[in-house]
Amino acid sequence: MAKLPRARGGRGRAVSLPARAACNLSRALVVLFGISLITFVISHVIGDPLAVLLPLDAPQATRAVYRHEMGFDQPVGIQYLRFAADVVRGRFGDSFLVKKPALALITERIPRTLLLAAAGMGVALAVAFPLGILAGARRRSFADSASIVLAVAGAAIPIYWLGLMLQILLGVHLHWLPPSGYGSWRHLVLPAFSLGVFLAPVTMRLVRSGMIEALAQDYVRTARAKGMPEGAVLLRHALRNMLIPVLTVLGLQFGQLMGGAIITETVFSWPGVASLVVQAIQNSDFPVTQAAVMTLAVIILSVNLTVDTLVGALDPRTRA
Amino acid sequence: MSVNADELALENLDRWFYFFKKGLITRREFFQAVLAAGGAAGAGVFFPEAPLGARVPEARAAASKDTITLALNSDLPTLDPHMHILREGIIVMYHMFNNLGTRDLKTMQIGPDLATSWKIVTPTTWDMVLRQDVKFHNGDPFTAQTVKFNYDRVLDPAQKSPQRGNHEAIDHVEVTGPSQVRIYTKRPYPIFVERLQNFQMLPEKYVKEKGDAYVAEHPVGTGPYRFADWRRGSEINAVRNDDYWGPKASIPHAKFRAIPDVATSVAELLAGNVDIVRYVPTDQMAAINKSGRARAVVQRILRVQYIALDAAGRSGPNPFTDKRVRQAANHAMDSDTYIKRLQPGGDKTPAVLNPLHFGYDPSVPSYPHNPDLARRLLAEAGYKAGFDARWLTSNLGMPSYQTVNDAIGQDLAGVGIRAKQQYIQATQTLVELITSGKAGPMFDFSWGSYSVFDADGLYWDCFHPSSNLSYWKHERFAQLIKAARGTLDADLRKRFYASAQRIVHEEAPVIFEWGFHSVFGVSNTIDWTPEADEIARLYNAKPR
Repeated sequence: MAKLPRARGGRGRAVSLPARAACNLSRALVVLFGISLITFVISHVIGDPLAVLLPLDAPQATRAVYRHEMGFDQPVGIQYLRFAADVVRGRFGDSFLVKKPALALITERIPRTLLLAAAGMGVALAVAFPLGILAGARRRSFADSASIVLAVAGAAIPIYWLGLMLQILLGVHLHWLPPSGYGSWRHLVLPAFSLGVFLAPVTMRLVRSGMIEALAQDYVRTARAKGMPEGAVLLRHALRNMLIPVLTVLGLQFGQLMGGAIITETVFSWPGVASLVVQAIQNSDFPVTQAAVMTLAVIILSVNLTVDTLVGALDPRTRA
Repeated sequence: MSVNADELALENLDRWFYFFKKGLITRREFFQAVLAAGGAAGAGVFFPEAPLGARVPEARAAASKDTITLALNSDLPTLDPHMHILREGIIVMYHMFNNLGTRDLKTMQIGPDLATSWKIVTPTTWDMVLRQDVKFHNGDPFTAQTVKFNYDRVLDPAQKSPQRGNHEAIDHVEVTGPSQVRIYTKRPYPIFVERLQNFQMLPEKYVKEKGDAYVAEHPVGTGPYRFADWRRGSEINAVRNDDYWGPKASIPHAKFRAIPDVATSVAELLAGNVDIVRYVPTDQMAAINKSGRARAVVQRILRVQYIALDAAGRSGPNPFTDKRVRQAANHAMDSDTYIKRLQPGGDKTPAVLNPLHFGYDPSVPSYPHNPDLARRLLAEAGYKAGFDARWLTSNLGMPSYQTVNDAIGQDLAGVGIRAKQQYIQATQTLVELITSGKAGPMFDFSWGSYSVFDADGLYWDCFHPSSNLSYWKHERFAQLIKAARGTLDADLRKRFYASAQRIVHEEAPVIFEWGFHSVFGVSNTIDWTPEADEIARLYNAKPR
């Protein structure tokens, strides 16, 4: 949240939108390089891909041949450079397990994960905004207390437990929705709701405190003084001003959302990217692991980048 | 007659513990879950039994028997029957393909499938007669050439089939007639017939025309179901083969759903969307049986588990290189109690072999539970004050493995063997540590013998000194099991294995555990019995 103002303060002057975007982009590239390095080192230190490729009883000589064929006998530095060159061209190699291009496997699954993430985010926003605004506008009222109870409960309930309980109640007992799987909108409801509950509390508390802060500002007093209806004061003046920090946090939460999706996808057998990654890690399937981490990193970074740039655009003070 | 929400909620505690162990959740989240369990038990009060069951009229259940659904814990990497070594793969392939021989589930012997008969001509030559009326799903005929093609394919090093080792004893196949083949082996090959049951036949022309990559996604076999579609990560669908040459399946559609989480599979079973769940946790049996929708069925299977000890010192010097210490560890075990209290049952394996293995000798005694003797043996070996040892643990399919390991850990510590559990999440990682000699001095291990019901399938793969899975070297034992795989005389083989088992028992290269009794969740809409070879045959299921 405080990242942008500090960057601006450091330079001592307002920065134009394109310059800010360029600065953010270069930072993102550095982060990407770091991630690629970490991914590469971890996957080459932890597991031996030959254990997946060859049968248990493969003789030592066969292992040596494969090691050479796959380039695993070259210096690690060379292996990384080859890896990085391939990554830039979108080549991660074939999955050891499935014998298909790793990136193709990922891109096939990504839309499903994004759908789940978007639906979860939608649920979170639908819950967080009305409740947060209400709680902020009517401080210390019953609605405010109720929202605190809900937020604490929402934050305290682990996502997989909520998922299992929803399955048992709505899927097994009431038979309203399928407990797990993929295929129709009905399959989306439970995982999206679980994810939403996971995300909503933080957003709601943020909307509430943003609202309280905004309502104490001079421009709100002015608006009220000129006889503006309370609803318009809340939505047109207070809400618009508190959107900036909320938007920044939502951007940051996107990473968490993807993390939450791993557990949600496992609990609900949602065939997204997370279950693929878990399987790939368990089988030391480097190409898939690497492709997944890089793709997710690019997605999360571009979301953050967009949000950062958008925040700049939304904040009139940043306009030169 | 309905599920008790409180019970399911509390039973999910071990799932959270599992998540916690796997590192998917933090310690704090785990404790939150434990606290929340209290709340769930409370929720049961608010959602009593009334609406349950009432909403699912019997008619719905009966009508849904258009499809039988099996829950698998993961999706398959390929639908090419020769390019995987996964249990899930064997199960799916069994529906779309046939083997040359198949297990008669009554006698547990291998009987005819695509081959009608086989006989031994010389110790290294087999003649086999094939069915003449079999067509592949695409219309191609099944012939003697098909058999030759399939053996050639799996044995070709360029094919890189991970199953090659299963058939390494085959030298070559000769077509001797339109429906006759002669198979030459490199040595006398006593488990030739056992290996027939897990080698599926692909159509030669189709594979050559379409190529491996296409075949891996569009399998064509001769089996009771034909492939329909594959939604990666989600499900595999098959439809009944109405032209099947053998007894036709009762249920028109078969579905294999990838459901990674066991608790979710159980929920799907109770919701009526899944008909068979494998490896149900023991503590969910009561909830399943009480639901009125499904039942928990226990079946003894070939898979055995043991705790391997580094008797050979492969990962460095350690107390277990002394035989007395290994025997002491076995005397510390209270296996009868573990099996009775913590397992749905189990068959003791006093020399690792399962009673279901050919060659098992029932007269080998098991180590009695005797902590005093264990302490004495340790003192004699110079460990009066006991010792610390790392113990790699993993979930290898044993029901309630964590509870069992905790109990064993307690009993070992009681005599002075302070084994510190180190949990390995991925089986693959454990196998890598074992094969590279870094898993000592103690590690969990489990072996399903590739569904080969013969001592060779376990002893040779896991205990021969040349195996990278073995942490024990014993000359006489190695000679015995080599001799047993080099002759076709069944009585002689039994005698070799009897002597080998006495050595294993006396030398105690492992802490002996037991052959699993596995728990299956089966929907009440079908009649179906689980099999000892862990191949769930949906085509044998009948609607109720």
